[in-house]
Parts: sequence; structure tokens; C-alpha cells
Amino acid sequence: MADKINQSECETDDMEEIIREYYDDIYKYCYWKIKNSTDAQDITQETFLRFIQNFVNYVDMGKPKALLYTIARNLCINWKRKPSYIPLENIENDSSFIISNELDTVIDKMYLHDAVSSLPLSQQEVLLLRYGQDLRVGEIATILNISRFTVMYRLKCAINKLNKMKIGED
Amino acid sequence: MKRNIQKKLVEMYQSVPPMPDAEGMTSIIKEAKSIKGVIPKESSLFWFVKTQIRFIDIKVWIFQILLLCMYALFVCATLQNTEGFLLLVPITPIVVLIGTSELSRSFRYRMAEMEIPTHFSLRQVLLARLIIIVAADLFTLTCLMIITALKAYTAINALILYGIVPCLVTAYGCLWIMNRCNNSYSQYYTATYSIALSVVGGMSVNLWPVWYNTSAHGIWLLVFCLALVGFYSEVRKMLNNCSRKLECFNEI
Amino acid sequence: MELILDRLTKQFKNKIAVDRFSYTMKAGVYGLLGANGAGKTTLMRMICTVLSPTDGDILFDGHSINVLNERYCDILGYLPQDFGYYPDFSARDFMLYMASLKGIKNRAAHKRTDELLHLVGLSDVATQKIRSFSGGMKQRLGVAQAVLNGPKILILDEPTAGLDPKERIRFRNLISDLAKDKIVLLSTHIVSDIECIADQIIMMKKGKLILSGTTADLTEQANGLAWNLIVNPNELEQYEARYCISNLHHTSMGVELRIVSEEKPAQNAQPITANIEDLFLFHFSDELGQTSGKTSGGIQ
Repeated sequence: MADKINQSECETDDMEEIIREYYDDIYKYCYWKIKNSTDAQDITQETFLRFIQNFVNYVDMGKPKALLYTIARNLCINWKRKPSYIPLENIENDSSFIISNELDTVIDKMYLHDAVSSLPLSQQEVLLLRYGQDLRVGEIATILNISRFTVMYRLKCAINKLNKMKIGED
Repeated sequence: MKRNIQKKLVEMYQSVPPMPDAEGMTSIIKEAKSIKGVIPKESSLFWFVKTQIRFIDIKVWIFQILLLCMYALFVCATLQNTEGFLLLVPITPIVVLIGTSELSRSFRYRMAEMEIPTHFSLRQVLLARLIIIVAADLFTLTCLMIITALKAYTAINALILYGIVPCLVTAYGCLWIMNRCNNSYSQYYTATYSIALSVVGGMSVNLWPVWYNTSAHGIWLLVFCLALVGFYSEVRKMLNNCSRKLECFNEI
Repeated sequence: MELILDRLTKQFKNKIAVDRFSYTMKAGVYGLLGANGAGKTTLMRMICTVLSPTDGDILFDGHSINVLNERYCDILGYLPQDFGYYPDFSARDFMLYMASLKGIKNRAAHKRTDELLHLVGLSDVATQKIRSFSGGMKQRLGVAQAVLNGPKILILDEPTAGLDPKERIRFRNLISDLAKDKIVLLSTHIVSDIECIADQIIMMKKGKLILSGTTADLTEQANGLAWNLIVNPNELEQYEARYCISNLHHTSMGVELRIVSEEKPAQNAQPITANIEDLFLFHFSDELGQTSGKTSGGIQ
């Protein structure tokens, strides 16, 4: 139960704006957590549904962005706990988008992708939020409920590790 | 190189397959629109205190302004220079008295029962009113002290003591009475107490001038501290008692 | 949406006002019937967090209201039985004041106030002081403030007390309109007020829940309790002493009595279709003192 006391001027029209603004971002985020586009969209729908329902009697909404990501993150965590969830680690499975890319960039991406996947989950999370979702350190800290320092530290460690794995070199 | 990594990360994260259901977003927007009557709300205490200013009885402001004007006139017109502070001591309890009736309004006018089951609840209502009244009283007090300082040649720190201490003692006493006296008579008791204090203060300048020697300032400070602690504890009691005051409601 | 009252008990010093009251409410209108002193107001006050129970708990959608706190108050609307008003307030001031307490922002507060004052028919007197209002107008204002925050739970304590018949009907219709998708609990000791609009009727006696059900269920339960009997005027007194008489009508053939009784009061008594009022009288006659009373088909 959030006990943030923030001022947030939201009305029904704003609601539509929020949905339009963040729908794609939330989908991308969910995809990278779940690695399955159908499930990712299901979770995206569910995230917004909960957001709207919460809205009906909302008082302390806080910033919608942080709330949306928090809901999405929790839903993804629960989704992964389901026995029916089978992690699809390979991006080759989404063949439709492989075809549109050149082979070496695909390999490059796969390599980077594997490298990122080998990092601890906490670092993967901050990488996704920072570079995938373009969130600020403060926002990431709110969503993950950790300090800004921890966020920056994890980012730094992650980048250093990737560096060591010689990802940056072409 | 790190920038290269960052760039590649961004690129990687952008490569996401398209959504299976292109209409997904539209259906959610439709759902959102179907919710009627969304009422925008606010929950910060600061906002609440601001809104309550408007609902304070206008008589409170009128009396405060009247008091200030009359005091200014009287001090400037009639008092001799050295006696400037004479009126400050008896007038401050009256300043406090003007505001105290606001605190018991919910009970005297039987609004408390309706105020309790709201977002801010009776507790915040009382707190907001207290904040507003204290701010107003402090402002009036400051004005009174400035007016007095113009006339009197008493040291400023002495003036502050002579102004604040009777104020605080009155406030503490009034709250003490209101916390123990639930009915409409509480207004009369607080009025009696404040006026009595005012009279004693007024007489003390002539009867006990030793109170106003510099040597007595230590005692004034002590009274200040005691009254402050007492005031604080009565405020807490008042706020905590909010719902329990209605425990005396019995079925008819 | 579900409101569960779980063994609610309220004890005042030496009196138990509400005694292990358990009930579950879903969307719909619930009529709480009981004589004065049955504990209705105490029960409602507990539901509205005005009083805290001595024992038991109240759960909304599975969460205790003590945990929900303001979030529960946000979905609650309450009209107390007897409420005052700040003397310097106009109807509009009153609404805006209550809106501020419910945390409704300024623009929305004005909009809601206008809408609701119009709904309850007080638009033309919006700027008049409340002290100039009649009882009915005050009650309507009370209902308007209760629904300001778009509550899911509406608690109305004797909302029609002191209203004339025309105002009572108007009120009933107003409540019916407002009741959609909400849990509405209204208490009364006037049976006719809720017979038509309540989905479920709850009867309360001495703090306990004694009966509940739909109007149809309860009418069925009341079967065999109502009798029609014509007696001589000189026998009237002995019948009054022995039986609960819900209606009394002097005719050319004698005095026509409507008697509420489990057993047949006399040889020539005719059984008639009972109604909720009869059931109410049957259970509450001892409290209402009906055995000696002359009423005209209603409990006032």
C-alpha cells in the first residue's frame, strides 16, 4: 500500500494520455522480462487494467510512470512463478524480427543478449530500466525501492562486467 | 568504449517483436473511458490546511483585526512611553481566546459525526484549524509586539517574553479545559479562564512590578518551557481523543 | 464488492448495544429494521468508523477496515441520524466543506456540488443559509454530502424520520436512483419506507440480528400471523389486552381488528395475507407496547 503523498492532477482525459504514452514502453519492458510477446502483451493489458481500476478511487497516485512499472514488474514476477511459465531465452524464437536484421548484427545482439543474461538479475533489472526504458536513476530507485546509490552502483558493475566481456569492441 | 556498450544496450533493448494484438491499447483506452465519475482527489495535509482557511469563521478574523486596531490606537494615543508593555500582557490571552472556539466547533454544532468518516477525518480537521489559528495568533502577537515596541523602551527579548508567555499559558489552559469538558459549556469555561488570566496580567503590572524586573526573566523562561510542554501534550491528547469523544454516544 | 460484519459487538459500560452481529452485504439496498434502542445507530456508527467495536471486525473485500483506514473512508458515504451544521454555512458552503474533508479538488468539488444540489432539488436555495431549511431540505442536503465522493457504501441512519409523506416518497426515489452498484444500508422504524426499495430486510432487536431475507421471504415467514376479526365494541378492551392489534377500524357491524398472533385469536377470525409490518409487530410488539396501543396501520 503506497503511502506516498504526491500531488497528481489526473482526470479521465489524462488517463488516455497516460495509456498512449506508456503502453509501448510497458510492453517492451514486459517482453524483456518474460521473453514472450503474447504473454508480454497480456501482462501489459493487465497492468493498465489494474492501473485504471486503482484510479477509480485513487487518492495517492504518485507519478503514473513509477506506478505502472511497479505494477508491471510485480505482475511479471508472479507470472514467472507460475508453473506453466517456460522461459524462452532465445530470441531466435521470435523469427519475424530476425529476418529484418542483418546476420552479423543479429549475432552481435545475441552475444550481447547472452552477456546480459549472464549478469546477476539485479543488474539486469537496472540495465533494462536504464537503457531499455530510458528511466532516470531516481525513477529506477523508486520502482525498485532501493537507494539511488545502489542503482548507480549496480549499473556501474554491470557495464564494467560487460566491458570485460569485450562487448564494446567491434 | 563504455559509451559503445551503452549504445549497443539501447539498440538491443529496442529490438522487440511487435505486439500480437494491435488493438490492445485501443481496448484499454475504451475501458478507461467507460469509468464514469472519476473524482480527482488530493491527500496532502498542506493542501487541506489551505482549503480550511476559507472555512474558518469570519468572526475570528474580524475580532483579531479589531483587536489590533484598538490596541494600536490605544497604545499610540494614550500610553506613556515606559508603560508600553502594560497592555501587552493582558491582551494576549484575549487573542488566544478568539481562536479557541474554532477548535470545539465540530462538537458544539454536532458536525463531528459526519466529519469522522471522511478522508481527512476529524483529527486532521482539528489539526488544520489549530495550525491556522496558531499562525494567525502568532501574526497578531507579532504585530502587537511591534506596536508595543514602538512606544515602549523595554528590551525586545523582554517584550517577547511578556507577549508569548501569557499567550502560551492561555492556550495550554484552554486546551486542557476543552480536552476534559465535552459539552457546550467548555466555551464559557475557556472564556472565564482567559479573561481571568487577562485581568491578573493587567493587575500584575501595578500590584507586582517585581515580576517585570530583568531578574525575573528566568522565571518567565521557566513558565514558557512548562507551558510549551503542557500545550504540546494537550494538543496530542486532543488529536488522539478525536474518535473516543464519541464513545459517549449512547443509543437513545 | 463485499462488506462483511463479523460478530460485531459494542458494549457501553453496563449495556450491550450490539451483540455479536454477523452479516454479509453485497451490492443492493439493505433495510435495517428495529425499534428505537435496538442498536441500529450503534451498528451503523461502527460500520462508519465513528465508533470502534468492543469485539468483532468489519471487512471490506477481505481487508479489515482498520487496515484500510482512509481508503475505506474514501468509498464510504454516511448520513447520521441527527446532524448539525455550522450556522454561517449556506448549502453550497456545506457541500464544499464536506468535499474538502473528502479530499476532492477545488474544480471537481464545485462541479460535484452543483450536480448534487441539482439532483436533490436544492439548486435554487444553494446560497441560502442552512438554518432557514426545513427538515426535508436538510435531509436532502445530508444525502447530497454523503454521495459527494462517489462512495461504494452508503449508510443512511433514519433518513426519512420527521419527513412528511411527500418528502418520504421523494427520498425513497432518490435513494433508489443512487443505489445502483452500491451497498446501501438504511435504517428505519417505518416499515413502509423500505418495503418497496429494499432488496434485503434485516431485523434487529436488542442488538441482535433476529431475521433477514428478501421481502418475499419474510412475507412468507409471516404467513399465518395476521387475522381479521370483527368484534363488539365492548369486547374491544379485552382483545386489546390479550393480542397485538395492528389496525382498528370502527364499522357499522362492529370493530374490525387486524390482529397479529401465532394462534387463532377467536373462532370467527379470518386468516389474511400477512405483510412485513405484521412480522415486525410480531417481533417487536413487546418493545413497542402494542398490546395496549391503538395504531392505524403503522409504527411511528
